Amino acid sequence: MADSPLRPPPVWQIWANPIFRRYVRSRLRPRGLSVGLIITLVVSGFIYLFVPAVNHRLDEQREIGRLSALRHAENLSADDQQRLRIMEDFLKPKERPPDFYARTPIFPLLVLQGIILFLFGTGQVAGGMTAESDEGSVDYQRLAPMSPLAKTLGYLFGLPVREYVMFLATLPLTALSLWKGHVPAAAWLPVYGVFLLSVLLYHLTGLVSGTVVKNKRWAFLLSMGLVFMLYTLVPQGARLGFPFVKYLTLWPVLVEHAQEIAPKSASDLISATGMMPGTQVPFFNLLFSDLAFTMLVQGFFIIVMTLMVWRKWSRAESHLLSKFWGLLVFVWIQTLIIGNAVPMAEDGDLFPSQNLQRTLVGGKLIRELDRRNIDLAQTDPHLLEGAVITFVFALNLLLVAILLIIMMTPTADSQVRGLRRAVRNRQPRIPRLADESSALPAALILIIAGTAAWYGFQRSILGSHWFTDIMQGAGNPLLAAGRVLVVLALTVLTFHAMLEARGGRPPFLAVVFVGIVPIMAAMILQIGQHQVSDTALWIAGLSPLTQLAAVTEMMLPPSFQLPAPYHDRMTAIFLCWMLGMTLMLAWQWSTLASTWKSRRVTTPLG
Amino acid sequence: MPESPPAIEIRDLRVDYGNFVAVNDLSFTVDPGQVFGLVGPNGAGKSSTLRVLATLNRPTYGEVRLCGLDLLEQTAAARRLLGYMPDLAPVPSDLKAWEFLDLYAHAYGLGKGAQREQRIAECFEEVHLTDKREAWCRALSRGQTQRLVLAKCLLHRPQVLILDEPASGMDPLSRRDLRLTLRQLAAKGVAVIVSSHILSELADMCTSMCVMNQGRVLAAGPVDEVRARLGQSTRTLTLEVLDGAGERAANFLQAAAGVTELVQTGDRCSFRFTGSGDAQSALLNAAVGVGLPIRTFEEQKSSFEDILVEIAAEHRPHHG
Repeated sequence: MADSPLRPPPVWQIWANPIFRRYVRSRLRPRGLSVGLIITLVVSGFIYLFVPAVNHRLDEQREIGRLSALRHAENLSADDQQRLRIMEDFLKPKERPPDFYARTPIFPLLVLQGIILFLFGTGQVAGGMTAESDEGSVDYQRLAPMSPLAKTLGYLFGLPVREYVMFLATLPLTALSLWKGHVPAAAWLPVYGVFLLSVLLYHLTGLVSGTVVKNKRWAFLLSMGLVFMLYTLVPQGARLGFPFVKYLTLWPVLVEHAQEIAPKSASDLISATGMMPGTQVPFFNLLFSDLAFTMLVQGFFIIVMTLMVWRKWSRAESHLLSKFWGLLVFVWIQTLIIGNAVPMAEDGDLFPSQNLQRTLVGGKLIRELDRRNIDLAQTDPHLLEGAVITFVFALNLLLVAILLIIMMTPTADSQVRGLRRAVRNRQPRIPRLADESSALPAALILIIAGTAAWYGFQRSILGSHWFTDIMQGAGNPLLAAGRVLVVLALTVLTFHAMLEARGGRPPFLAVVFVGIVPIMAAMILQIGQHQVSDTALWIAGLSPLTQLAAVTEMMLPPSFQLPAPYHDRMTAIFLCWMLGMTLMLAWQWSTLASTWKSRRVTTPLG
Repeated sequence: MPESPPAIEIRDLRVDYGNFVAVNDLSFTVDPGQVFGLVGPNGAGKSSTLRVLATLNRPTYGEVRLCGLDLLEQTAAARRLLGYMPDLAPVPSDLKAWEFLDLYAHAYGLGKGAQREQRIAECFEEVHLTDKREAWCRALSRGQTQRLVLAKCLLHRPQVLILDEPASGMDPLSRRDLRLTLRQLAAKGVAVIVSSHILSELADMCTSMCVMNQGRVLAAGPVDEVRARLGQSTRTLTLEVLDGAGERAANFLQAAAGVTELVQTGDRCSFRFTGSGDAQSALLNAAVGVGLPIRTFEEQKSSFEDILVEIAAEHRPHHG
């Protein structure tokens, strides 16, 4: 046989991708596939047949009840007759369009598809990737002359291929429901488009966690937990002033098109998510549709996740994000939050009370109010809502900064190697943006950028026209920003110094014992007390989270602050906390300095 | 015509894991058609060197070239030229043997359909595993798994073959086959670099070698040369004399400089001698001079196992 040049298939030919084909072979063997397929077909068949039937039956029962009540109306008292009239109005058969019952299985089928692809698929990607690394065959893939992108796509579509087939098995009945229900393509196409975009994002998240987490079971649970949280806790977060996070889910686009797909379920969806269809998403001075903004947000995270996996495939020891990209991600996430929240704060949509008024009782109240021409926003947002939103924003800054520090800080091993390489190459230091260089400059930038973002955000919320009057006599925002800077700096720098000097567990234990345990202990101490416990206050004050909350409290006018003795005590606690943390930081920095020195001492070659 | 570059060229290679120096200032070259052995006790730095060569680990520093390509700069191009078989080579448990090879035949872009099938069959043939084509990877024995991974390495006809402990788990017959396969590949111009603990086998298999310990090179070059260099300072000698002179010979040797561990068995004296080649000649002359009726005077060739045991013992840290 003549030698032929090596020509791996092009990246875009997913079906020819060797890794994809490998999983098509192993995960689509009839024995393994048949069980999943049968269960899927049975469940989707059940939904398709049962849901319209039960809806039909319920309507029939309602009509029977109404007629039965009318038959006995003459025997009722005047009061009961009055009640019956009201009930009759409620029980009167609704004007169902002819395709109403055909549409009823669409949402339940979508939930089934979500469970298959969002939950099982993501878990499979994470677990499968960990298993590949664990057994060592991932090294073979590293050596294969395919581009990192081709390898990423191979795993992304290959690992969950059985789940894709199960999803496909639900499609005929979905298509039948859409067709018989006369659902316009303009309604279901965006929903399924974003559904598949979300699948990509969640599977990429699984791929990243599978690449990083060593234990298959943990990777599986972690990634499924993330998706579960996105659809349970995150929408609640969106109601608390962070609407941006809901665009990581399918909800906004689903709500936008719910009326066209399944009118009966639409009000339930609005009630569950607190979202209103037909509204446009503000981003600074721009307005996006739900679909466009979802694509913008998810597209950004897809790019970031792809970049992470790409870096790992290019060089196994690479950090998930370079220093440059880490900072860029921080800035962009904060820009998304601020750009979305600030215009919403102006018109009041950001505040939970306003949002709630507009979505009460599954949108029924809003329709009623609309019908009677009653202004929806009857009351102004409460100042405490603004305070909580400002606090949660500060919390987000701290958490995102710490997460990025974990991604950007070099291990002792890589730093020593970087130093030796630099000495060998006659460089004065490791290049600043190299993975092996210290993350200290990046940490400083994160702190400064974070403080600036907090200042801008809190001015947009607490300085908005809603609170102009009430904020007279409130704390100086620049002073508060200075205190946020101190809290962020001491917390992030101490964490960074511990991580870079000691690596591994100590910083994570510190996060638990300094960040969370004091608050828990204070809660236990406080419970059952009629007044604020001094001890509880001091213990809670150990946590940086409490200090961030204290900054928000400090920003409020005196009438909204804690009673004077407690307010003053919080200031004392802050000063003690600052002193303690400064000492801690000094200790960690001295450890870090001696670690750097020892790493340089061990650097001489030979 | 320009001279072709060496298949492998390593200069001043260093690999660290934290403060542990796995490989320190390693330099050697391997030409096409050479079978080069990396020998050393555990922790010598063999696997680290091979992983750097396979582009899987980044060295702390040093220059590594594969057929003239800089591994750090031209990684993708270099990967097309090499085949790597790790120590305890893993195989996916959910694939059959032929599917495993087909996966990599695809990944390396080895033609289409029948052409690829033919190449897979050839590789099965080369490692004598054709009868296991339909077997599940998980059902293969350790030795068969090693051979399957070797077949995978051969698929794309690499110019450099990197084998980390390839013979571990193989039965004697498979080892012989491996030896033959490597020789055939070398004859075709493939450069093979192989590490092993089965040192005697490396001596048979390799044309040249590098003996490593604690990340450093102790000796490198053609096999006989390395053996001679490592065994020259202290070696085992045997002096056999004619009937009845055994006692006199033992007395003579006991008094001679550089002689230790003397064992007399009848007319045969075996002892360790430390000294140069000239000192060894002088000892023989002196024995003749004192009138010993010498039948034979010979040097026992040290086996590589002996040499390595000795090296490892010399470099082992002393406790207490």
